[in-house]
Parts: sequence; C-alpha cells; structure tokens
Amino acid sequence: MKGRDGFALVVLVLFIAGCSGSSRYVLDYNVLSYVKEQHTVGDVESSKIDEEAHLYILPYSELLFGNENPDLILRRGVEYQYPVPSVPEGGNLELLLEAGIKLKNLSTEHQIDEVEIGLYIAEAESQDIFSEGEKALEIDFAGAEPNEEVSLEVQKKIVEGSPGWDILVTGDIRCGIEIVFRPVSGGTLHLKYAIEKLRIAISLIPFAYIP
Amino acid sequence: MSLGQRFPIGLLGFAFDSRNPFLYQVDRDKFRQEFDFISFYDQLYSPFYLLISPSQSPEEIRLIIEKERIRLETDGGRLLARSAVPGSGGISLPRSSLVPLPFISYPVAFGKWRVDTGAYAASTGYRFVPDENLQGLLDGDTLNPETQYSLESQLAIDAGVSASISHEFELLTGRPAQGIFIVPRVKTYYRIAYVELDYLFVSETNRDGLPQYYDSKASLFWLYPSRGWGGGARFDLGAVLLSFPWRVGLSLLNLYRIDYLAGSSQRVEAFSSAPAEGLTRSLNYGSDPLFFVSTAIEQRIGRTMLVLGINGGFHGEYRLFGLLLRARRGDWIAEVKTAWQSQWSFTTTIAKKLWLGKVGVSCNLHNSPLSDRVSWGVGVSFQSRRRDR
Repeated sequence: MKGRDGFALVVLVLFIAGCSGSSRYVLDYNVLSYVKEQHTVGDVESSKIDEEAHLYILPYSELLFGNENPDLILRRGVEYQYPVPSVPEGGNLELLLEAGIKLKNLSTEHQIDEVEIGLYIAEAESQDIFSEGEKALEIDFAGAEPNEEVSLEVQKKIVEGSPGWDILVTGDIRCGIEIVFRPVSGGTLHLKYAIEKLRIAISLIPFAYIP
Repeated sequence: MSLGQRFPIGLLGFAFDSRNPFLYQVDRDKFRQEFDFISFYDQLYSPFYLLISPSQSPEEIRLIIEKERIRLETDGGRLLARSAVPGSGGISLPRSSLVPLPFISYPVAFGKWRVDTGAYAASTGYRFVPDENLQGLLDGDTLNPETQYSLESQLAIDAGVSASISHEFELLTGRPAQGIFIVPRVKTYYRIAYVELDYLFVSETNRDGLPQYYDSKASLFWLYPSRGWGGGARFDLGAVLLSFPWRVGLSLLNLYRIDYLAGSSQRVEAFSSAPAEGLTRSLNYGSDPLFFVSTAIEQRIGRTMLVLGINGGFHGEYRLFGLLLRARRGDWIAEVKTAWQSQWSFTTTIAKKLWLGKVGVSCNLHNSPLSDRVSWGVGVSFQSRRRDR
C-alpha cells in the first residue's frame, strides 16, 4: 500500500469503529489475493537434481527455478505504510505472518526436504528486498515422504526486539514473500501444492501512543 | 400529567475510569489503559441516565485489504452508522444554534410570557458521511480504477447556558374546549466549552484499481472560558391546536439563527500536532430549520387516564420519530416511550405522587451512538407538589 499519510487509514478506522485503551487496530493484508491463480494451486516439477523452486509473492507471483532471479517489480515487493510514533515502544506494535499450505509429494522416489516461507522486509527505498532487506520471519515446514500428503499451518510474529524490528518501526516498509520448495539432497522435485492461507497483519494499540 | 424534571444523574457516570476524560490530566497511564471513547460518548449522549452498561469499543478492529476490496470487521457489533446523527435529545448539531436541551432548567411564567433558563452539556452529534464511492466500497463493492474515495466527518461536544423567552398568542375559536395558540420564541445561549473534531479523508486508486494515494486533514477546535467563547440566538415558532381530547403541535426550530464561535484550533497529523493556531472565529447565520409535528390524544378508561402521543421531526440532514403511551391511575403514572433519532431508544418510567412531590424512576435502553451496540441506564425525575398542581 503506497500512501502519503498512513495515519489516514488508522484515523478512518478509529472514526468507523471507536477506540479504547484495549482496542487493537489491525491492517490485515490478504496476501493470497495477490497470488496468481495458477500459483495458488500448482504443480512443481524440477528437471535438475538438487534444483529448488522459488515462488515469489507480492505484488503478484512468479514461480522460478534454481538461481533464476525475480523481475525488478517482485524484487521491490510492496510498500506498506502505517503510523508509528517517535517512541514506538508500548503500543504492542507487531507484524504477523500466517501461512497454511497443503502439499502432496508426487515423486515415488525422492523426499521433499522442506518448504520454507520467508517474509522479507526492507526500508522503503530498497530496490531489492531479498538482497538488501532482512528475512524477518521464516517458517520452515518439514517436507514430505514420497507419495505423502501433508497439511501445514503456522503463524509467527515480529515483536519488539525481534529481527526486523528496527525496520518495522520506521512505519514505511517494503515487503515480499518467498516460498522455497527444497528437494532432498540428490533428488528432484515433483509435487502438488495448494496455498490455503497467506496473510500479513500489522497491528498496534493506538491509545498507548497518546502522548 | 407530566413526569417532572429529570435529574442529570448521567454526570455521575463520568466518575468511572472508562468514561472519565479528566484521567488524562490526573493519571495518564490509567487513561491509556482504561478510557473508552465510545463509553464516554455514550454517557455524554445520555445525560439523564446513569449508564449501567455503556457501549464499549471493540477489542479488535480489522481493516482487511484484499486485491480489489477493503473490508472492515470488528469483534462483534456493527460498525458505526454512516450518516448525520443528532446529539443528545435529538435536536442538536455541531456548529449550530440547535444546541442541546438543558439538563437542568428553571422555567418562570408571567402571564402569557415564559422564560426558561438552563444549563446544558452534551454531545451535539456527529456527521460521518462517506461519498458514494467509499460507501459502496464499505458495502462490499470492489475498488474501481482511477477513482476518488472520500469521507467527511465531524464530532462535537457543547456545554453552556441557555435562556429562552416566549409569548403565547391565543387565537379565538369561539368554541369551548378548543384553542389555537401561536408561540414565537427566541432562544439565546452562551457556550462555556466546546470541542469539535473534523476529519477529511481522500484516497485515489491508480489505473489498476489499487489505492495509490491517501490524504487526510484532521483538525481540532476548542474553546473554554479563558480561551475563546461562543454564543448565539435562534428564532423558533410553534403552534398548538387543542380540541379535546386531541392536541396537535407544530414547531419550526431554528427558523433563523446567528451563531458565533471563537476558539483555538490545531491540525493533527500522524500522532503529532502542529502548533496551535491563534484564535479562530466563525460566524454562521441564516435559516436551517428543524420541523416538528406532534399529536396526542387523552382518553379516560374507567379509573385510568391514558395519553397516546406520536411525533416526527424533519431536518435537512436527519429525521426523528417518537411514540409515547402514558397511563395514570390514582397516584401512579406509568410511561412507555420509544424514539428513533438515527438510533432506537426505548424508555419505561414509573412515577408515584408522594408527600413531597412526584418521584419517577426510568430505565432507558438505546442503540449507542457511534458503535450501534445496545446499552442501558437508569434515570430519576422529580416534581415538587407545588409545581405539580
């Protein structure tokens, strides 16, 4: 979300729903809605041994193999703005990543070693969040045995003191998601997956920031 | 057979931490943890009822952004009504001569003249008006490319003293038990304190229908005795037709008004305030009428006297509607009243004549302003034996 004044959104919400010392305001981005249909439910089949598949998400999605680099737009991710006071402590500012994936290993020979979901955040000026930014959250799912079907769901948060906190409190960040499907050493990938849930939620308690 | 003067026992509600804005000065940490703006505003909206269960702000408010949609959700309860909502008593509006009804008043009659002096302190309502595009979006429409979305809102609290003088002209009908009365009235008021929050939000989407630009202008205006003042006057005209057992009333409030405000103003941006500007003045005058019509019928059934009344109010920005049923039997009076003032309210009262006067107890149930949740409170009224004659 690009904007000149992120405060506007919070004030809008405040007007619409009221406020108290315990009211938490959440900017909830349904990342799944930005994923192309063919990437929400898809097949991954690598032709080379040990070749990983990378699904880059935000502001759209692209599935790449090996060392292929995402295009410039995907490398910049999306910009999120939200209000943060000059002293950000105390407002319970947090960023949450929630993901849910169903995975079926179609290979009869090779395991899938792991599926890794990384949330990268960087400063607003960044041209490549994946190399210049920070992998603020990482969710690792254990992979799947041949022919095995697994369902994975987890959420993680950046809170005060976590990696990425310093960038988060700038109130103007770029972020993107990379999902890595990693074959077992010496194997190839042949799998079917369905992303069932993928959201980023930035939340805070505005009342705590009243001077 | 009135129920007497209602006591502003709602003021006691401000002793609770969740409704006490003065905590900000006394105990800043407690204010941050306990104060609830919705509870405070709800109590301010109901000065005659001590709210036992005031409306509360939601614990979580989610602005959900999907590719082409923006949704708002809370943990239960509906979102705030999107319209112009009048303040306490249904007649007041921000920056208007339609000031709130006095919570305490002293009426004096000299023949056909009547003077009514009182003090008021209440919300004067709020406006929350999204443009057509934003309204559609909040109702579930998708974002359109290269479209502007805007929201205008205003919320105000007013406190002061008011005095009105009216004269009753009786038109002779020549028939017994019938009468037509014309009552012109001038109402003047002096504002002791006034706070107003104004907010304008504008967003535009790009060619892809994604929000690309936000702008907001928030400003605060306030006055208190050592910092500005406000006041004004308005002219009202009323007419009453009595033809037993019927009574019909027509009123035009705010037929002409003049309203002056001088106070401090400040722009508020992103948790920091720009320096307060010098004294800001505004003068409003002209006509902004609120038209009231009411009718009541009185009927005796056995030993019980019944009154059934209905009224409606029409203003450029809002509508009011009320229905009342009152019954008196011996020393007892019971009343059931329901009203629509952009929210529903329902009040039951029971009163009894005692040796010192008439004492009434009420229970009020209403959709809270802003949050639209149901809250309830209790009220008391009293009329001395001397005035009840």
